[in-house]
Amino acid sequence: MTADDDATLIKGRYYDGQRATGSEVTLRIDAYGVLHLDPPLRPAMPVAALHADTRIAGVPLSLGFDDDARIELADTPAHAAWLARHFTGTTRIARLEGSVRAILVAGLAVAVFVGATAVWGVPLLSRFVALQLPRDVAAPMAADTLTQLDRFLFKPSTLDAPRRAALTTRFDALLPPAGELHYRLEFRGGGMLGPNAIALPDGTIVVTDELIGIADSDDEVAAVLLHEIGHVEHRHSLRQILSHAGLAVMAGLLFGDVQALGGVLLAMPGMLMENAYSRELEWEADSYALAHLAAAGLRGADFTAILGRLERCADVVPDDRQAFVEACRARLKGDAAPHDGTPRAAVDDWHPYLSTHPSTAARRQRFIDAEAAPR
Amino acid sequence: MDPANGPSAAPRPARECPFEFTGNAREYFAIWIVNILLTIATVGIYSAWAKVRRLRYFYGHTSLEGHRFAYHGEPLQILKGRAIAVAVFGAFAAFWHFYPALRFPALGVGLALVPALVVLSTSFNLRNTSLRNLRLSFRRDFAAAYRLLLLPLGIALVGAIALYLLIDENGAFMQAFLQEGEEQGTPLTKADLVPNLFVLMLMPLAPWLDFARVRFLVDHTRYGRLDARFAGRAGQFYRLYGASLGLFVLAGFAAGFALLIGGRDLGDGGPEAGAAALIASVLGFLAVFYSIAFFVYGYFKAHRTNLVLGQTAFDEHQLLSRMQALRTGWICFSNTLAAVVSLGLLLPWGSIRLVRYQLACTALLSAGLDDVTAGAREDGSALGEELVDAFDLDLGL
Repeated sequence: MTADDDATLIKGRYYDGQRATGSEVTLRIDAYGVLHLDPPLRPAMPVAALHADTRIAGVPLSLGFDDDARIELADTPAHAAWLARHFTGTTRIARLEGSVRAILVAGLAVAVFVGATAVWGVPLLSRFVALQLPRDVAAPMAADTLTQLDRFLFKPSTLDAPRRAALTTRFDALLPPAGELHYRLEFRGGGMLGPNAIALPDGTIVVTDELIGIADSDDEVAAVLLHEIGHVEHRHSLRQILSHAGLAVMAGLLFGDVQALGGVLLAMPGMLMENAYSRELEWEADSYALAHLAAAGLRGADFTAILGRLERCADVVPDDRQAFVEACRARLKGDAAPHDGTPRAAVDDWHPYLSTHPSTAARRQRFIDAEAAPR
Repeated sequence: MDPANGPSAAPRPARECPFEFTGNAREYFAIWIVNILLTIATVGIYSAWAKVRRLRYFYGHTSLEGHRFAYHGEPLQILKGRAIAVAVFGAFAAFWHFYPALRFPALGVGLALVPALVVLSTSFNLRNTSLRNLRLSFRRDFAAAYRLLLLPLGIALVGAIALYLLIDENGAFMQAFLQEGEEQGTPLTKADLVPNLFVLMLMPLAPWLDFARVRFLVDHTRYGRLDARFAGRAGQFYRLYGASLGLFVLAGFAAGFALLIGGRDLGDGGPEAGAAALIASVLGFLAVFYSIAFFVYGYFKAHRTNLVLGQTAFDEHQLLSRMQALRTGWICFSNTLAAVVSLGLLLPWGSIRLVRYQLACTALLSAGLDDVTAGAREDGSALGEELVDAFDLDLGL
């Protein structure tokens, strides 16, 4: 606290905290750091016994007394300077907020931070956290998910027992060396989902009759199963939940005071970001499949073939499953070269950022390149 | 204006005292971006100080009869509440994901806490708001808050049970319900009706619940020794909700119609163009629907604010509010558009714009507040308020 005899006279408005009327008052702080009021609405007192709020642009500066009384000063540069002389730290943040350079730096820093966190930080952090959590933490969730899917989407499988047994044997051979997880293959009718395979975090992998129906060989089904095992091994479900939570926390910190309806539209960047994470995870699951193909006696062509079929049948309405498989097979037969023909990429071109999966062309090309590369 | 000093001799006539707002987007942008930067740099700890600065800016730029409002929340108190709220919310989220079986008990516990949290947070907010250095305050009537929640739940439950007993096991309605379940591959029994009936009974109570909540909050509010009183009636809320719902349904039809007209020309260019046209028309539908929805929301927000404030009086001092539906809708719509286009940078501009408009529409019909004196002070923690913040419930008056 400075001890210069501050001759400055400051005009303010005194509110006693008991009545609603304010009265004009002149303030002076003497060389001993004692505040004098004129008219003397209260006895002189040391500045140390007062508390001053930090300055905010345009908001009246205020000095509070212990008994709820308060003096308001207009926020002029002279008043702010006077206050800062006697109460340290009250203008520090306001100075930052008043400096154009600081604002530009802040804007840039925030943009870089938010961008980096969204693109790298959240996926890295959720991966790290997911790897720390025990594997069985997701077991109740997985069981619940399957129950819900069975209730609302899936139908019972119509696959006969020998075929199931054959695929299960095949599946068991694909599994990584025994770990904490108990892998299990389930068969279902896809319903609305049509040809699909789903990995649950507890190691349950569901494959639909439709997918098995359009595959040309068990090798193709096995290639898809490897991809799904990749999802489980890399704990993708958990990472997706954690990423979602991470984005929500960040959005809450940044835009906490946004109107409800505006929030819906501002959720869009979040959705796009989550799709980007999802594409990354699909790519990672592909990597797993690619790395383990050879050991399982499979070829890259098995994976690219089934990917091609899935894409070719993407817009066949998954009605009745037998009708679906027939319609799909008829279409595949109609193609001159179903496996290597230019993929019908209209949808891929249209909305690469809206998709949860990377483009099929890129995924196929990767397996073709890997096969061609000398080992 | 200089307020008159000394006791007023003769009663003066009441006049309209407008609320004035002097904040501007440039200043608030600076506060907002520094708040975000420091919040990031301190891993969230500064968020409590950020909140206080934000509210102090808005309150301090609002004045009535030449006197400024002020916000007095203590950052440390808010930080403490925030820490507890984050812990509780984290535990809740973990339960929700990892123990699906405990979802409903957890939700039940959360719901049971809501009335208490509403009371605590309202009390914290009002207690830390002052005008002319006199605080607002809130009488913390927990019992009334719980009655408020339990009454409609009870009515809905009784109604649902009554309907359940009235429905004929072999009647046409029951058969249709069972068949619906059959089609979705879910075998249903009559007992499965109960949750549906409960929600069905609860829905028509929503406007009444809103009305009762507003009345509860206003009637327990004081400014100094002035008691606030809410004179609105439930019927007004029913009319508002009915009209808003009607407009919303109309918006859906209008958007569907626009889709029909727009989609017709795009449909005949082969399967590839078909996929593109499908996406285009879905996006078109969403765009039209959202645009209209903002104006429906504007209608609801404007008229609800007018109703809530316009029927509130602090003893003989009557609040007035005259927000316009179209103007409010336009502000919300353009604010959101600007925020999206600017990647969030125009959010502070939007906040200032909305507050400025809302306060320009608000006034106090009063002969002046000079004679008001302080009431008794109550203290409390910020915990309630921060929990409410974390659970993202809108409890604004």
